[in-house]
Amino acid sequence: MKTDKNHIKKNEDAPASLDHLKDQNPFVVPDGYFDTLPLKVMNRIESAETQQTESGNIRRLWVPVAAVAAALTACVMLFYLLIPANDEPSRPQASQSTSNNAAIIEYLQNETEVDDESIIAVLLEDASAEAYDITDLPGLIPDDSITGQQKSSESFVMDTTISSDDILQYLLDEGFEIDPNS
Amino acid sequence: MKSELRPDQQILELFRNDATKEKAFALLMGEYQQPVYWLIRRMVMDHEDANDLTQDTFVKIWHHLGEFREESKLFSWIYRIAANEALMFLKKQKVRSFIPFGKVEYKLRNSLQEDQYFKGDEVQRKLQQCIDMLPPQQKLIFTLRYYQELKYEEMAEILKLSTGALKASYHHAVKKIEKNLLSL
Repeated sequence: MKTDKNHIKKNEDAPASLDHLKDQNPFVVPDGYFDTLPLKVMNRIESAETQQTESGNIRRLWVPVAAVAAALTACVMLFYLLIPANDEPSRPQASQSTSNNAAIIEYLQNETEVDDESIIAVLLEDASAEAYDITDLPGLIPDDSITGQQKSSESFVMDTTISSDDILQYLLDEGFEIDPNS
Repeated sequence: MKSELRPDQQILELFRNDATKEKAFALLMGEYQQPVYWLIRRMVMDHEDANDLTQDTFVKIWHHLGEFREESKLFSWIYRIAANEALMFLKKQKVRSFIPFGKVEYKLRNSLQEDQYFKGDEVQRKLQQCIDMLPPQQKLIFTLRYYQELKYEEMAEILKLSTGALKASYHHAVKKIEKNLLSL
């Protein structure tokens, strides 16, 4: 490594002059770095293109799978909406309640001359007697404990401190004349 | 008689043909890998970071060279991509590191001392410290002018700034560095 003692002395005794320092390059690279760099870049490009092809294939399968998953989720949500509110998941009770209603409807349709509107009005009255708060239903809103405590949303504050150098740079970018000696 | 194409035009013509695309890219890398690397290295100091960013730059060039509209010189376009990679890296690094400003110089001095790819003497170490203290865009302007020796008109095409703003920024950077070199 070359050291130029004249440069060191100049900088210690006089106001710094940068002109002579720029000809020295203190940074070095590993042996053969530039010989192998093109190959490394091409390898990256090729492996990215291979990954893109594979993810394209996965994407083609993903759409129908996602559609089925969305449909199933909608069914599950509908199912939970229909069951009455209980402390424990009450799938058997929900199905019993639904089958009760179905039985009522069938009876009313077959055994009486009651019209559909009347049937609906009765069922609605029945439903309002078991009114529940939708927020109590498990599974609809993410909670992180069985007690149903809702997760509070995270918030963060971005630090937007602007330094005086940032202000100066902005002024220069906008074309304001700056007195370098100020 | 077919006139000889300038190297950049030759590269672009070859690149547009699928059969010769890789050959074109090899020519481009042969021409620009060192200028791009050294521009980035001067900005980020560390070889491993510069290596990653240089590769990122050329990968982007591969993907977008087909869209290059020749409204500017090829080298301006390439330098712009490289400069953006370096600037984005420095901004992310600044947010991630949370080092109080006074301790930044200490960190760089130590990292240069321990860096096997830094062979400069004490004066060079101080100079690099001073350059590293400049805001990212000012550091870029200083690097392009001082080390790459670009004309202000060429820098204006790369950075989309006026030559007046570039001259003022460079002048200011030099004053800051000179002042900081004396105080270190």
